[in-house]
Amino acid sequence: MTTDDVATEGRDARLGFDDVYRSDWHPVVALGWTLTGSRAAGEELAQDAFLDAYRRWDHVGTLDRPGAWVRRAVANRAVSHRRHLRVVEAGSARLATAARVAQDAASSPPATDPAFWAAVRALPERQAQCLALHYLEDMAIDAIAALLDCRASTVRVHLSRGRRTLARTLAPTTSEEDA
Amino acid sequence: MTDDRTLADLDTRARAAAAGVRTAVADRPIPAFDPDLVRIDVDARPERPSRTRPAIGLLAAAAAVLVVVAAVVALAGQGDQDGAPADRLGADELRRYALGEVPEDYEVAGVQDGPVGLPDGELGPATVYGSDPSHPVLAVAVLPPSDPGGCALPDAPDDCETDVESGDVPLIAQDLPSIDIGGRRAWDAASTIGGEGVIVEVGDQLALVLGTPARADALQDVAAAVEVGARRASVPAAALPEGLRSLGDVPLTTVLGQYAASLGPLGTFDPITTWSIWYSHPVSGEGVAGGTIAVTVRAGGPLQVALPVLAAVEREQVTVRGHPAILTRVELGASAGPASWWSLRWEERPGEVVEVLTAALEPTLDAEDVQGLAEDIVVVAADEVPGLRQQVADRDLNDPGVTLLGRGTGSDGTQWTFVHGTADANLASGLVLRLGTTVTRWSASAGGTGEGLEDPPSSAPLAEQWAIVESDGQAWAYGPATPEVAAVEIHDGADGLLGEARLLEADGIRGWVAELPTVSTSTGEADEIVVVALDATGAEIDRGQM
Repeated sequence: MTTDDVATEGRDARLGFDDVYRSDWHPVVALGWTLTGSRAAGEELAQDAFLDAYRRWDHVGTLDRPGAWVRRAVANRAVSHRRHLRVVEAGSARLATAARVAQDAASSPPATDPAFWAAVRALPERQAQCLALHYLEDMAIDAIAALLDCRASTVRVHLSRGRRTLARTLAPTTSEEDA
Repeated sequence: MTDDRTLADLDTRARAAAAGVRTAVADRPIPAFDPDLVRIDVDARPERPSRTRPAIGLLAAAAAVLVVVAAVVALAGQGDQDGAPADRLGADELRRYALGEVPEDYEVAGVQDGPVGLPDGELGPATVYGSDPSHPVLAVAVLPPSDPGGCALPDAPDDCETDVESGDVPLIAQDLPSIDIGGRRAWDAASTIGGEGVIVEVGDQLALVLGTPARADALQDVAAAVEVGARRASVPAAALPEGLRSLGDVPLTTVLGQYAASLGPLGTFDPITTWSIWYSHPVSGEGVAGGTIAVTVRAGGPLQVALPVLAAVEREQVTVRGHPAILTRVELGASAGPASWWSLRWEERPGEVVEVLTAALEPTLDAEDVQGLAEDIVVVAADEVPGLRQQVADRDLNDPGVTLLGRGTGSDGTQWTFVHGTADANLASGLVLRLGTTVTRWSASAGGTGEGLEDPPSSAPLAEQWAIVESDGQAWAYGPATPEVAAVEIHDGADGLLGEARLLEADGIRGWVAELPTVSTSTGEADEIVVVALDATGAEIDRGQM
């Protein structure tokens, strides 16, 4: 099942674009931020996705959850963003990327726990997407599956493996905090 | 093993982190959605090529770069009036140089010996104008189509949307102020491209005009008159500022200099360089920024020495090693951080242009540092290159959490190091094949980040996981292997044996490395490669198609 499949034909009250934009802007930015590691990139991806949604509103607006369409766009674009950044490991490109990452990391409020999200991003892409949606929006497995266009069982596996990996990689920090 | 308490601790931390992010994003107001950015009159102009793109930021629009640089490679042989007269050295006579003294905490991060070879593309050259080769003043070029979706990348998904048309303003100009030059749409590109620049729409193409003419509005006059062909822009003689003449064509990346990075990761590779060595100061996990220093060599003369002035915000003539040199500074866009890039170029020997390039955030490197580094460069002998390459392949090897599985040398002479890093290691976590070269391309099956393969998604003998890494002319595949795997074979699409992989193991970590017969990802031949795992009896126990 895809998010497209959950379109509700003949719905009485279609959400307007402005409603979705206002209600979902912040969570969509949060998703982009955590998946790219850059708030600026998160905002850019969100802007990008909303622009696309606006242009396709004749279709997106008929969906049961237009916000899910926008989130999927951001999640997928975040993957592309990461892939592009790793295409080449070399010289000035390394620094340009490093500079932005460093700047973002330095400017991230401590309460956002940048180290945690960095560990999330170090996971395989699908796991990172599932965990970001799960933690950021407390999204149910079925909703994540619909959003990412995969089976619920797959999401369950991604969440399980991702949590185990995170628990393992973040364990020392967690222990220190406990102490 | 992770017990329930550990997972519960993780969930607690995760929810706190999520709450922190939600609070942080809510601190900023929701920006007004401007429908003017999303003109919906596209259908009214059905003949318009799909060129404009949503605004996701220039650095994110990395994909265009493959096209950018690729095409430049095709132009590498094109001469300019800088040329190589009889008293100048040819490209094959140039020496290699490196820093005489490497600053503390910097290490060799890349070596490129010989011109960079990249796939063909569609980008044309920049045409340079000036009073003489030592004083370039103007450059014009056709800009490449934007590709924010990365569809030009070898690892782009099959369903990559290349024709997303979401607005009337081109991606590269969406954040730029529009300017009135009379008749043509144009944008002030100074903040993005550098120096003084104008992006102008000419028919269905975009042209870039940049430089440092004496008269401030001269660029706009040129932009109003610039003519474009399929891949090349030029200025009609009548519109050329007085005293200027064509100095010839050069690759666009050599004109954009460090601003080319804003077009993506490969943008700063100048294909006419014959040698480059890069040193890096790593970015720490605490967000302390690092730095990069490079020493490059290219064939050329006064024009190549002076080209950086076209996009620089500061320029100065200095003396280095007894030679007149051009010191320039550019600033990366706001989205890329506050880094200043210093470039110092001079002609060390006739026809041999050397450049020392620095960019560092912490500790910073300024003009004096650059000149000091340049004064102390040393010649690198051919027999020293393998040692430098080995340093590249071995970087980070002594870091905590890094396990060496093995080393080797490819048939093209490239050294590789096969390592595993834990998540807190400086290098990418998981299995990593490090190449002793500057230019690498990396692609992988689902999973992995950066250049590392971590957390095998399955318990199958090959774990359904692999990666391909390429140098300029050679490709390798690698991946994890469980203990039951006794051999790994590489087959072609018809199941013919192409070769055997090396199985490597250390500290209970097991993996395989195979040199591939083709440079796979850039040629799209990756689908032809099949990796087959055999057990101790020779029986096939797993296979995967790359």
